[in-house]
Amino acid sequence: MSVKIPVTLIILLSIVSCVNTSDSFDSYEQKVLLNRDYLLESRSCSLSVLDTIENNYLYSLKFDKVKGGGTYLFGKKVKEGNGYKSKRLNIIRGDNKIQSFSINDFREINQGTIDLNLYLGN
Amino acid sequence: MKHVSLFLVLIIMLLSCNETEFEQQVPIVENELPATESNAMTVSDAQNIFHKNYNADFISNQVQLLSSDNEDECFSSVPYWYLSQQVQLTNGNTILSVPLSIPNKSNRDGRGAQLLFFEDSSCEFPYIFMWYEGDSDIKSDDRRLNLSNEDFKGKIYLHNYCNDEIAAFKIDQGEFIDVVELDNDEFECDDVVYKCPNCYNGWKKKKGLFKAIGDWLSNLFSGAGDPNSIRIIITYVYSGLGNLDFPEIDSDSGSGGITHPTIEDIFDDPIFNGEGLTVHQTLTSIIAENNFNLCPGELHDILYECMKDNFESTLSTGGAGFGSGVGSNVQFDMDNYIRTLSDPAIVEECLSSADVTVLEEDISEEGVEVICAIKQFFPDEHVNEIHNIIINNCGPTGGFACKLAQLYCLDRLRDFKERYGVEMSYTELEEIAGGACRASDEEFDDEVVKILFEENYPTFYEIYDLLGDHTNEEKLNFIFGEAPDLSEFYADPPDCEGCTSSEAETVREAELKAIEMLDCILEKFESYNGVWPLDIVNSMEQHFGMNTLDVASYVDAVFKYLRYHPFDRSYEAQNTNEGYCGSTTLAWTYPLTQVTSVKLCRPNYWNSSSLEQASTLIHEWTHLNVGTNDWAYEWESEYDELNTLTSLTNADSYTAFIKELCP
Repeated sequence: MSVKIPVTLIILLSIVSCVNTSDSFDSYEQKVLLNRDYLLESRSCSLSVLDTIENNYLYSLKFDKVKGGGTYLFGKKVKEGNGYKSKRLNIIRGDNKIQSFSINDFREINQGTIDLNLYLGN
Repeated sequence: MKHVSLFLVLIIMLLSCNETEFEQQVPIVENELPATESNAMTVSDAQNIFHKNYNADFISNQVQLLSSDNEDECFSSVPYWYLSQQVQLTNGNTILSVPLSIPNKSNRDGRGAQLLFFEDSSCEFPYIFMWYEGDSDIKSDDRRLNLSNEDFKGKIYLHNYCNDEIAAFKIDQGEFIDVVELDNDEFECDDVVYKCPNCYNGWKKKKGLFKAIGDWLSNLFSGAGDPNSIRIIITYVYSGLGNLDFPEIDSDSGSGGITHPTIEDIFDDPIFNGEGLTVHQTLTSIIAENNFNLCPGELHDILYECMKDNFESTLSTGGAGFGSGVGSNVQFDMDNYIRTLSDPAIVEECLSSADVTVLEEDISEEGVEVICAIKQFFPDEHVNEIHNIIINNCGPTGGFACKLAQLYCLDRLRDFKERYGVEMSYTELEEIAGGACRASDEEFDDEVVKILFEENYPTFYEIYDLLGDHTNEEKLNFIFGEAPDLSEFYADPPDCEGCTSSEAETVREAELKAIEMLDCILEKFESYNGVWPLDIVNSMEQHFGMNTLDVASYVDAVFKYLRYHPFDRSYEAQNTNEGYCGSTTLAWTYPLTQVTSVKLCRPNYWNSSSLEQASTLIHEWTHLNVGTNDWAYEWESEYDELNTLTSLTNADSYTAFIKELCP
């Protein structure tokens, strides 16, 4: 008994101390410029080519509004699905992922049109 | 410390979770058994006593105890339930007399066997097996003329299963002589008493068994040891002595009955004596020879009416035919009735005007017994199905005990179907519940319900566990039933702590929208067969990685559970930075706690669309009630990498799936 009770308590504590949150992340729009040799890939963002400027495409990106959330254990976040922090846009060349961006990344750059070519080497 | 306190509170809440709130809110009307008069033993009561509360092995043993399959069998044990008669005793009690069959080869004048059921809650088997055996020196013609037993001479043997006592009575010319302890030799299975080497084991018990006979009778008939109580049973067994405390039938009514059974009502008399069994056996032979789709009682009704009229007509004209060859003082008595039954030409003539159907396949006498036994329990439309199941399980040459035991097990399924309104064929149900004919009714029901559940949700035993405290009716409704009408349940705004009335109303609308979405998805699943409809095929593949029926049944079960389970409807509004409400948070919950409230974050939840509000509730319900995790969200690349097992425990898989098919 002396062993079983703490084990049971730990299990129960594990259950009740777990919290799931549901979060909503608004849509976000951004214009970007990218060399035509590269591709953009995203599963929650609609892309449209607005123009061709020299060897680049001018894209209009619209990140969908998504739902995410967090899992907390004893008050500490152990898992997160954050639509702003998550790298939702990938730059692809061939089969390789060259670079990824989150909405927060774009917000940090804070430009009307972002030249993604500048970030390919990072 | 703050968290520890919260955890302890939640533990207490978790431990106290017993679904009582649900039961109070949505009362389930239990099927009520029809009320029976006190002390009135009905056929249903007797069947419950005899076989319904026991497992297949017990029933088989019980049946075999009363029968023998060998060549020299004394008697078999087909209870003719449909010939059962209630007998009102003068002390107010009603007992039920159920005739037992006697094989043709063992049947002779003055023999009879029956079970007498009586009310006695103090024992498990409140019935008496009775066997009566007339001595050979009775002038059978005398007895047959009036069909009373006033000149009966012989012995009546009884085994009271209630207290396992055995007794014997000697009767001479209708007079009860004594309760005597017969010589030991007379209870041995030898030729002195029975012409069979393998007779009833109970009679091998000998010494000291009759000392308690007086107590037994007084217990049975509340006679408190009064010698008359012994006379009462003799009166009952020996119906010719209608001058004691036994109620008499009005002799002017001409209805025969318990005091003076006639040919016409031979099957209606509680004393199913040797003559009756002879008739029964003869009728069984006729049915088997001609493959009639009839039972002996039905054939008797046809033949008796025909022969009676023709017999009288023949007698009055003095012509040949029904009365021929039986002497000048021809009477339509039992002797001549049996004799006439053996004339195929007369039987054929009598049946020519009757609407009798003939079975396509040959049927044996035993087959007639089995089919007619089935008809005692099942309506005509199910007789073939039940017969096929029995033959499949016992084999065409299987023993009669096996077939009877199977029948009793199937009768349990009939009760089960009626009790819970399960619309499945007996074949399907028997396959699913195969071998589940065991234990008491409640345990049997539990067993079959669990088997049905596993059959329908083979991969989702967790749902059964979640439904653990619910009644079998609710569990079966979960599998086969229609979604409950919860409009009243959702008529008022929910309990929403900290909500304004407007906010609470919004939550109620979201609940109703969520219920609509669940109804929609459940309806779609009803027609799903693994390859059609295509939208489910594709969405199952997309969100759960597989579209097999097993996986679909799992998903279906989760949605059913959410839909059928009226939740606690307990919510709490929290402002940003309160609890786990962050700047983007719509709602949060403690998973799998069920009794805790769903926390809704102000203002995000109320600012979201109605679809989002409803799907958020479904998402939280899967956390709260089914224990899903947030392994990945639909828009994340990891979502596509989830394997099926993980998808089935991923909250957003369900939310995305239902939003896609039932927005």
